[in-house]
Amino acid sequence: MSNYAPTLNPPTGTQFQQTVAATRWRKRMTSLMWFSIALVLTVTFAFPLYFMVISSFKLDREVLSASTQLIPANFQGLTNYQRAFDVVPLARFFFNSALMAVIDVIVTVFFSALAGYGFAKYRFRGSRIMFLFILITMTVPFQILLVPLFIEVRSFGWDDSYAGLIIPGIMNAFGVFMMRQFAYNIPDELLDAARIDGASEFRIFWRIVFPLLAPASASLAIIIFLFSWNNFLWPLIIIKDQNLAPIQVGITAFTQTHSAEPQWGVAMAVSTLATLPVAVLFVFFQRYFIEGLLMSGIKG
Amino acid sequence: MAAGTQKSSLIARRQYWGLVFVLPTVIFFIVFFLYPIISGIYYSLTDFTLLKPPVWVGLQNYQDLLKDRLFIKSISVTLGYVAGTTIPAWILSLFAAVVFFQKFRGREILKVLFFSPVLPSLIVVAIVWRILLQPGGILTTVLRPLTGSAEINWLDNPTLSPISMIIITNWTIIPFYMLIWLSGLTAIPEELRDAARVDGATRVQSFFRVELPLLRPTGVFIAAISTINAFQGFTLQYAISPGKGGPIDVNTTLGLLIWKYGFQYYRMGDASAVSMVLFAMIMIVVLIQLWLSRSDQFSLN
Amino acid sequence: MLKRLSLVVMMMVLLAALTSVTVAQDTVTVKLWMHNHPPRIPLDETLIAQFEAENPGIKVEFTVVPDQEWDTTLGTALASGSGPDLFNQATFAMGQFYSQGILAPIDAEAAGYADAASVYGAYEAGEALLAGATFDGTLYGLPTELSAYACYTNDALWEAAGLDPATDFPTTWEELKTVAEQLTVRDDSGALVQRGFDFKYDASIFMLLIFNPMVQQLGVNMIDEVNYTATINTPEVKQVLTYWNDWVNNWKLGGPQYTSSRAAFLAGELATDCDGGNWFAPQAEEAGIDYSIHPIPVWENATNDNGFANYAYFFMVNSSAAPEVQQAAWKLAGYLTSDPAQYLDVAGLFQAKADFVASEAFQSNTIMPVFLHELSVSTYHPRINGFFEVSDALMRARDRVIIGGEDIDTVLAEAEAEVNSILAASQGM
Repeated sequence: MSNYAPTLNPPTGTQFQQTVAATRWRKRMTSLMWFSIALVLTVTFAFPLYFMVISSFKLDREVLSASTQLIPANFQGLTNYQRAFDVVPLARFFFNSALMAVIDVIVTVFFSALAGYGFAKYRFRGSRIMFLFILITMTVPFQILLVPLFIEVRSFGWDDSYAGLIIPGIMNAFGVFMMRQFAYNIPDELLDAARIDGASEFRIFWRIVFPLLAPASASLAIIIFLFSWNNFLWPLIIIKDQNLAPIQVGITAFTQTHSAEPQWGVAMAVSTLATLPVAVLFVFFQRYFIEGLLMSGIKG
Repeated sequence: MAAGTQKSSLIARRQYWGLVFVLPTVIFFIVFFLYPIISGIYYSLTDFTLLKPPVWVGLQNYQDLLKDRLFIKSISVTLGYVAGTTIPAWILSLFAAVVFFQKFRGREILKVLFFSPVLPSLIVVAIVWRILLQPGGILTTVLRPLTGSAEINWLDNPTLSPISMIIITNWTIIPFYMLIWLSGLTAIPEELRDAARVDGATRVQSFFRVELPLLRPTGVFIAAISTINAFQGFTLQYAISPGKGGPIDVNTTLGLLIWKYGFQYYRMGDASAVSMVLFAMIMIVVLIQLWLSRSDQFSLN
Repeated sequence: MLKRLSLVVMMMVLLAALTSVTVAQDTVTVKLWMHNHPPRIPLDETLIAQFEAENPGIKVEFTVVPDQEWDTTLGTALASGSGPDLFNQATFAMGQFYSQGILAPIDAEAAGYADAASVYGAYEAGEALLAGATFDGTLYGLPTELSAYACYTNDALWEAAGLDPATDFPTTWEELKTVAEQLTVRDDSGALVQRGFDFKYDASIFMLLIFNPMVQQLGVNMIDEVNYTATINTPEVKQVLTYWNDWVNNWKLGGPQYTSSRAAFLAGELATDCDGGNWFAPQAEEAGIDYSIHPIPVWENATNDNGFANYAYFFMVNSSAAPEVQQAAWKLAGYLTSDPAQYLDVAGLFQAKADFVASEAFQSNTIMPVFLHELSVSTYHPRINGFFEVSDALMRARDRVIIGGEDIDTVLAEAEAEVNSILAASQGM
């Protein structure tokens, strides 16, 4: 088959059929090759999470066993999940995480849209310098702020409180930047028409601009949720009271090497639960999720 | 005409609303970004333990860092971690993107599964990998035909432990960078590829001649964000290295050192000085990125 | 117990009746901070309510502060003047509070004693046990919890190896090695399945709680808490570190790579664990392990027979509180430490009052006398500023030798310099 040589004349009859068959065969083989490579990659990368989920249905000692049980030998049902709620105040952790994430999302989306629109559509003194300032904040990693921000928040009396947990991270420079890009594309005529009709500027934002920014808001909301839900360093520093801890800090009880109680099944159940909200968002809003991730360029 | 002037004056009179709209955000960043940055620079020039007011010491903290064994060690630890999580991740994610760019059956579902490591938080990643990396655990068993050993101290061996951190980090970031590459690949017009094909270039040749140069902005972007993220390495080292940064400090990155000095030893001045050093290092990376992408108009940024 | 309770209730009613007549005088408010130890909190609350009923002039504001970072929370609160009047302080960072001048000397009369000397007398081995809150010969606190470690043996594993923990338990580290070898089980490939004994490696504070006391047995204390100096590059430290190194690398009886000792003991993989206080007993019971308790071994060439380091929590009073508040605070502290039987019973906390120790209830307790013995022969860990930083530096030195395989003399010389510079920097903190 591989000895087929191209000729100047168009192939005819059986020759033509042979060519088609050969091409198809080659295509199928290449496709199979790519599939195999992709399969190996996927298995390698998906295994740890698969392991996490199945291990949450295993007995503690079986989680650690060297033999890779791809399917739990002694299926435990939701036992580990029930135990998880007994071991740590899991409901409380989830409530705290959800509270933080929801407030972060609402405030960030609203104020980013407002400021992004303000920067995109108005000319006022200091506009450029203020935008540049916000842009610069994006280049400074959070760790640089860690110590002074902690000292500042502490001086407000906010350490170990929801205020201290949530407020310092409640806005996001990236959101402003992103919303500004999208707000640029809104036609001025639309806004001017509303002005002529006597709409106030805020009303124009709320009734016309904000709805037009909805797709961008969806991406931003998802990405802020992901950051907020998976945020670890700041809550670790600022929260000492277990009742205020978000899930990511709450589950550190299971992370320490050689820690006392080896309840591995429970640890896997808690980990699965902690990943679930993000996974659900990913499955249902894949497009916005990926767009948001691509635009932000950061993996928390 | 009258309506026009009225309209433009109306618009002109309302320009200050822009200020009203951006002000909450700007004030927020002054309070929670500008102020801490400036006070951070100030703290780095003081002795400060939280228990007493800061005492001005000038550049003393920076001078002390030069003699600080742990700091010097953590610079090399951080550079090692950066090297291990940027170059391999760059290459492997590009490879994965090329694979998932091809047309084959089941591609979409495999891609979604491949992407799954992006979802869990680093703390969850740490818990799961802590089990996978047990001395007699799964990874040891899987590699046994190659290594021949029934027990490998992935986390407790000072040589192996930083490598384990690098492996885990690569696992979490490669799928994400793959996605960025993939969107870059998708953006390349089909005609360019076809043109190369007509020129008689093989697939591999066409990839290196046509596609890779066009992916330059993406490549620079990935190199930059992976470097910046690696410089900040903290969570994994905090969560699974023995003794938070051990054994023998081989996993004490600068990020971990800031936490340790600031929140374990309450040496806020020293922690702030380390922060400033880290800041400088990251700024260098940012400047290199800007320089490299100065001609790239269409970078993903 | 019931008798005492009904007595208290009667007194409460009586006092309430009396005071309602005398019209509330100026009330003094005592702000009390306790760290979070769930079993004790209901007990604290009950006793505080009783105290308030008995002392209508005193109001108690009771706050439970989470354990983590208690030291900074308290330290900064005290520094800014918003701190508590009475607080329950662990000995670890106590040096910090003392050098800040925050601690008020005990008001023995207010606390219900004739004078400071009689407080020492009221406690079993008072000089030794109250040393944790004694600075320069002055007492600054009343203990709420005294802790020392002893050795727990898993009796089933000992018997399986043909050993009787009661008679065969070693008195020296040298013998311990021999016994541990008998108790060690390895699989075909030589990997450890069961350890006879192992040290606790995973947190650096054990360098000051376990390692340093082993050096102290040889007559040297690595840390001088008065002069803020370190003596580490000595033959005594070398002897101890060599033993730990041999344990891991030459005798291969354990090491930091294995499950931490307490967890391994509870899992039945470790036959002997010497880092549990009396609070560890309920955990061992819950894990279904038949255990017995033994003193910490000493060296054959020991000059001191101390066990591992004592540590404790003490009620301490804020020196910047108003005099009448300080007085009320000491009164409350005296009251809350007047029922050691209940605190041991309900919360597992040991307050070594002499009369309680002499009581039938204590003497018939199967484990407490061993812990009391350990407490009275041992000394407190160094109480220094920079406690955790010094611990980390010592752990670094240990790991450079037992994990990194570096030369022991070089490491000890460098560790001495490093710890000295940490101490010099933290002395004035």
